[in-house]
Amino acid sequence: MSTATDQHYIERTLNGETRAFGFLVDRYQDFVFTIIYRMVKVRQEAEEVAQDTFLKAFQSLDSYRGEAKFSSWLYSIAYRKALDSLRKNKKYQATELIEGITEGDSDLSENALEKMEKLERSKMIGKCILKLPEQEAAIVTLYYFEERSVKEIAAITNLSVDNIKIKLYRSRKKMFSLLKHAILPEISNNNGRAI
Amino acid sequence: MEEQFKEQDKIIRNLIKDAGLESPSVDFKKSVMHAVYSEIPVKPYQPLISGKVWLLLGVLCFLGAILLYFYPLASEISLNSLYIIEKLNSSFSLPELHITKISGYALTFLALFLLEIPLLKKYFIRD
Repeated sequence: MSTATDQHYIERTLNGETRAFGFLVDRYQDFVFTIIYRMVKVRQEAEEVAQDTFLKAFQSLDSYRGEAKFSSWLYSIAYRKALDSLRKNKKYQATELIEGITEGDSDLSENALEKMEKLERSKMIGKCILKLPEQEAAIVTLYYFEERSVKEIAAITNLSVDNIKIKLYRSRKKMFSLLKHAILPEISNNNGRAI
Repeated sequence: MEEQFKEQDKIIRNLIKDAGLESPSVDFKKSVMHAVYSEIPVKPYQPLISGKVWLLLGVLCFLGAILLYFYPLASEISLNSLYIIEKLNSSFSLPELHITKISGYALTFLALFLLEIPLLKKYFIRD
């Protein structure tokens, strides 16, 4: 992948070299797709929304002032497009009820996860993230994977800092509960040992 | 409490890093770029050489023809009369070779054309 800055490709695109926009697509397609997929939960729909996101970014590229990172600007478009799609399909707020989240659920140890194969583990974690409510799935990905600050996430999602913090706290709890429920049967099936 | 919070945070961070990123289908970029290109307004056809330029070229040719008609150029050039060959001729002799001026110009332009080919090739490869 090229090491040139985003600004370099933005300028080339704005100067009429549309091909340069392809480098930005290459650079951000996986992350944009991941955020959208974790929100809309359906792969095909996520691809359509991701495509709309890049198209919208291309159309509005001249309005990008460079005040925030290009990636943040792009993720905010992706986030809004995913919410629009959820609203259109009336799936917004259709979050799965995760019951039985107690303090005791958070005693999930890393050892239990280490016992699983890497591929199996990442698949399972991916599934658990998909079970989180739409906004929380995006926030968790931005915070833990992209290592964005709460302030940056607030700017991307247009939510308040306090709201982000609450959502992060809740997501963490839910993730622990989901992982515990997913791992326990796996571990006991594999070696009959409890964690 | 603080310790437990930090521990949870660390575990979740590692797990989410472990989960990695999802990838769209292999044709994703192609379809995005296709959609992007269809957004660009198609420019109406414009000939490379405009009507005005054709007219100007026509007038120049016509004027050139008139000029040559009234002030014809010497019709032949002798290779031996060229300065450099005259100089060299003192040491050896060349057979008499007469070519028309038009052929002389044609050969000169052909040489220039052949010289241009590798230069143009280099330019397009670099581009």
